[in-house]
Amino acid sequence: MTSQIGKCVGFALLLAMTAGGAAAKEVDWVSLNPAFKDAAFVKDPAACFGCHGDAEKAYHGTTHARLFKSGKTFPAGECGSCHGPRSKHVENPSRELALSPAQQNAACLQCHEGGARMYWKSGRHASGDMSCVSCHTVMQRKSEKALLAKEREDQTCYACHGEVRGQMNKMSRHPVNEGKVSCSGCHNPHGSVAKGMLKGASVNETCFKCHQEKRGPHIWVHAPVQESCQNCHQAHGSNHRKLLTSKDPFLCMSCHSYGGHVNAPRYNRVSSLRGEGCVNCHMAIHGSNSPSGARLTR
Amino acid sequence: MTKRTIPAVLLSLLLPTQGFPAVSGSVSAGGQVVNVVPDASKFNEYRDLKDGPYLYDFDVTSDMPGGYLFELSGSNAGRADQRYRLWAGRQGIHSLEFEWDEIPHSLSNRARTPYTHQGGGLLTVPGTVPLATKSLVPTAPQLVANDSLTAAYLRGTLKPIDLGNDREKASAVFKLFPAEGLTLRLGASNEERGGNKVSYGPIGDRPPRSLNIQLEEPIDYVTREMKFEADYQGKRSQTNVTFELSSFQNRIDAVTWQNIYVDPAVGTNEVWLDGRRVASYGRRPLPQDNLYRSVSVTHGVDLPLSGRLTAAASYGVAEQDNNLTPYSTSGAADAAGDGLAWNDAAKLPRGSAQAKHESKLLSLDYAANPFERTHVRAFGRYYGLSNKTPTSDWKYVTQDVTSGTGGVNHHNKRRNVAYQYAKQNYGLEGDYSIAFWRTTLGLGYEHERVERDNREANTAENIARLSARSRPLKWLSARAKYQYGNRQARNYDPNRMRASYWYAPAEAAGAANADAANTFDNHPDMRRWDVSDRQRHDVDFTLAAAPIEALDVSLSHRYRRDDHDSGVGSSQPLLDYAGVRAVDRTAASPGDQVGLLKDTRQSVGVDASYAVAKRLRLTFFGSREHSDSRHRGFEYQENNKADPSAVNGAELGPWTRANNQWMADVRDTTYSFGVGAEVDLIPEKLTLDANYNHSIGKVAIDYSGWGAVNPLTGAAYADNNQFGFRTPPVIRNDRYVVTTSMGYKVRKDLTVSLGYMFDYFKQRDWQQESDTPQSESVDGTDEMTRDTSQSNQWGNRLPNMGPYLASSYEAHLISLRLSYKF
Repeated sequence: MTSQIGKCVGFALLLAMTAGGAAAKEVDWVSLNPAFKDAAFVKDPAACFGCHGDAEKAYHGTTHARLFKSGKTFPAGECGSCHGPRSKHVENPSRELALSPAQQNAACLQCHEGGARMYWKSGRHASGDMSCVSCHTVMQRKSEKALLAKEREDQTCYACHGEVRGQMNKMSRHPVNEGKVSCSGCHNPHGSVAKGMLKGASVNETCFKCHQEKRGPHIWVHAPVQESCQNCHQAHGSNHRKLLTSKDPFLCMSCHSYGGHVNAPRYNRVSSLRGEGCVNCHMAIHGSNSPSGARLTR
Repeated sequence: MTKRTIPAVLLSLLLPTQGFPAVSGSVSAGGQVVNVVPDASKFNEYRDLKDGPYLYDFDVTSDMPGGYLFELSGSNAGRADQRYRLWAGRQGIHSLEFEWDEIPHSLSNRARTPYTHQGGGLLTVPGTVPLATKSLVPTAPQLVANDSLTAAYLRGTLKPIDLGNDREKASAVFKLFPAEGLTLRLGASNEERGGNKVSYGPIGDRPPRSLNIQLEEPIDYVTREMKFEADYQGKRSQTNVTFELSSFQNRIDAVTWQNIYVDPAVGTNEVWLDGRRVASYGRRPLPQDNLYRSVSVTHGVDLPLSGRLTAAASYGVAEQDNNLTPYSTSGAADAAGDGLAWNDAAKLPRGSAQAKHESKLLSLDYAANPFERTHVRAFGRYYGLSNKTPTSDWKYVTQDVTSGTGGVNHHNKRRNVAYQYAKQNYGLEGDYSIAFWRTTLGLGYEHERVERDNREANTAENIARLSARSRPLKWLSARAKYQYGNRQARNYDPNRMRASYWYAPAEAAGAANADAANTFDNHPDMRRWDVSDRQRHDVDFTLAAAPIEALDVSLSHRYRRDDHDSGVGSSQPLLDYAGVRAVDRTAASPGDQVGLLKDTRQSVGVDASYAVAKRLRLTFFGSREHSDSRHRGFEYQENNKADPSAVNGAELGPWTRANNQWMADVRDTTYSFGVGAEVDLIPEKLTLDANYNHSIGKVAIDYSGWGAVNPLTGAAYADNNQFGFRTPPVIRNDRYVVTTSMGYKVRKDLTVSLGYMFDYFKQRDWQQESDTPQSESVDGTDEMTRDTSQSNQWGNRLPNMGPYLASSYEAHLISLRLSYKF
């Protein structure tokens, strides 16, 4: 273990050495939009709000406004940092300098490319032409955190993932509607190393962030459980108890045909047609730590 | 901590803000009346809606000179689902965030049990069932008489029990920006989870003699976590280093329950009429204390051609080394057996679990725009889970009941095997944009390979993707994606489970006993779907339109079909039999694949938002999700694997007989739709919000073959036949919710709102019913059910906590709230 940690730390230091100078990234505005050529940064918020006054009040409640208020200085000034050099726009207000989604992303990523957004450029949302402002309302604080486009995170995600809203209305579900679990509790919408933009390195590592009691490790392993919780559970909602993917005992029988009571829905030695099916006896379905746990009944 | 403590503490924190230069915020308080009929816990599954006064939510923000900021917010103060958040610091310099969150999880308020939790996981009952016949193999009339005695016992001892468990989590994050581009985060949390959940307590050996009972499993968990993160953002690259530690502790190591049929005064076990010893108590370990640590490093660097390379590596280790419980609570010492009592921990091959998993992740991801309008991505990923838990030779003591000799049969000599796997993914994707309709075409290929130890097969899958997105009109965009995956299971080994037995072949020489280690375990035609061949077709289509400024509409359709046809053919699994019993080496399987055969999932959805007028906005969503899965099963006599022809004339016949197959088509459909309206009845003064959501879930199972009909005669089985099963009633979950709120702005900073909610939920599920064609309550006692065959098998009896534990409900809620902004 010690040597493994040592290797990881060494790798980290090696990577850190390639990091270059420590500062926000610079945006090449002209390459983003040639119309920026010869324009200068305005550096006077009052000039901007002279015309865009309707946005001023809402803007002051945002993290960005507070950051500038804290004394942080940026070479491009308060508005210019995100909107680019706009002296020509002040002289001749037009939509010539309007930013496309990709250009808006470049502006955001100058400060926000680290941390959880490391995988943005190779993530599914970026490759699907999504931009930062698809989900974030930068000039107005509507949500408690992260300047989301809607008051609640799930509503923001449902704008595109409507099928998940339907799943979250099913009988068995996580407490997303109650605001106790959020989409970003499991997914990183900015991209991740795992499929489905999961936050953990695997499905199970994601689930174990809340369900630590299922982590084991167990002496008696139920192999499909160890490989992926999704083999039996649908995280977004189900018409079956405990987010199961299918009705028990049929779910269990899709893998188990040992002979005897395991093989049929009804076999009068067992009570599987009542209660929780096979789990009535095999309740240690996630793995067992009992010496008599070979059949996961302990 | 009481529900009122935290609000009181936070209130005291608020007081000093009165003097702060710029304090703003809001508070919403009032009261509500709730009527739930019948009073069902499902209504408050994850919330706490009750009668009485409410502090619904509040937030206070104080902006101070120099960028200092203080934010405090909370909701549902004093309730079981209360939450608070405190943020203080200087934006961009440092901050401290504290959060308190409670999540209730109500499972049932109508359960009844004879057990009392004495603490520490010990469940006891007041007295025991005065069985007329104490035998594990009684006659059917004897057991039916015992059933009535059990039902009478339960009627006299059942008492209400609330089932559910609540989480209380406190977390804090300190964030520091010590230098330009560098961010440090240190987080810590403590989560307490207490209560109980539904579980079971089987005492007995195999199913015919298993004395099972539904009971509560106590929960008393605490999880402490720490996370340290360092983020460095340079001009061309970013690095993140994260260390996480998670310690899970269960204050209750095991649940021990009293056997309702055995008086504890007899000692650890009682010898019943057939000479078998039945334990006075059952015990099983609960989730074990465990420790997880991980370190990860992620580095992203910008490269020429708008390129981006992101590399990640992580290492994690999960360990648990709890002391093991003995094999059984039964203290039977029998000279003819193993010579020691099974409740003696000295019989175990080791005293503690010594369980350990290691996970390793390596990932490289490169994205670039090498040519104009062209985007490419290449990626490779390795994730490995190594199981370092040592393997030992155990004796599966058949659930607290020992045979007359106290010994353990050969097929109960079991070995834990260390299942582990390694998954590799690599692929290439490319997008090319053309001017026509602003269209982007995509093409991708991915290969996924999973190598597994101690499973039936390794798998390799080739995945091809085609995609297109287009914007033919300024207000219209469309996306389509097709993905084809072909997964191949290499050298599927149906005999993989042999590794989990350690008896010598000679021990299986007895005529009637199973020889799982040397014959086959799963039916030879079974293919476990998660490691079988699979062809996947996945189509995704989305259309978004905004034909007028006031209207947004989107349509989506998704179709995924998995075909698990693995080309299974007839096989002779006994050809290479290595045991010592007489075998029919010519026995052949029918050759029809068993298990999950097909799984099709389809969803269609529509979402619309229409601003009819400045004062009226309408929204609508609707979706239909449907899955259709086909299963084939095979019933056969497990004790005649080696000599199937010996049971040719039996209903529970040989594994070679095709008539013993059954089919089930499970159709799972959910309709979900909703409409909403926001109306300014009087501009800037009176508003009305109304929403209606409806969800209908249906599960229909079409069942045919073995069980529906007698495999020998083809005649339909009667309902009370021990194997009889036919297409069950459709399962239905209906829920609709109406919420309305009318708000009147008394002043610029004060709004009065009157709200009404109607919430209806109804569940019909044959598995939750006491009386069905297969199951019946005994003497009208729902808490005592048995198979309608009324046979002499203990295992088909289930003393339980009642039908429909969470139940259906119809609820009305009226609320009045004042919202004040300052």
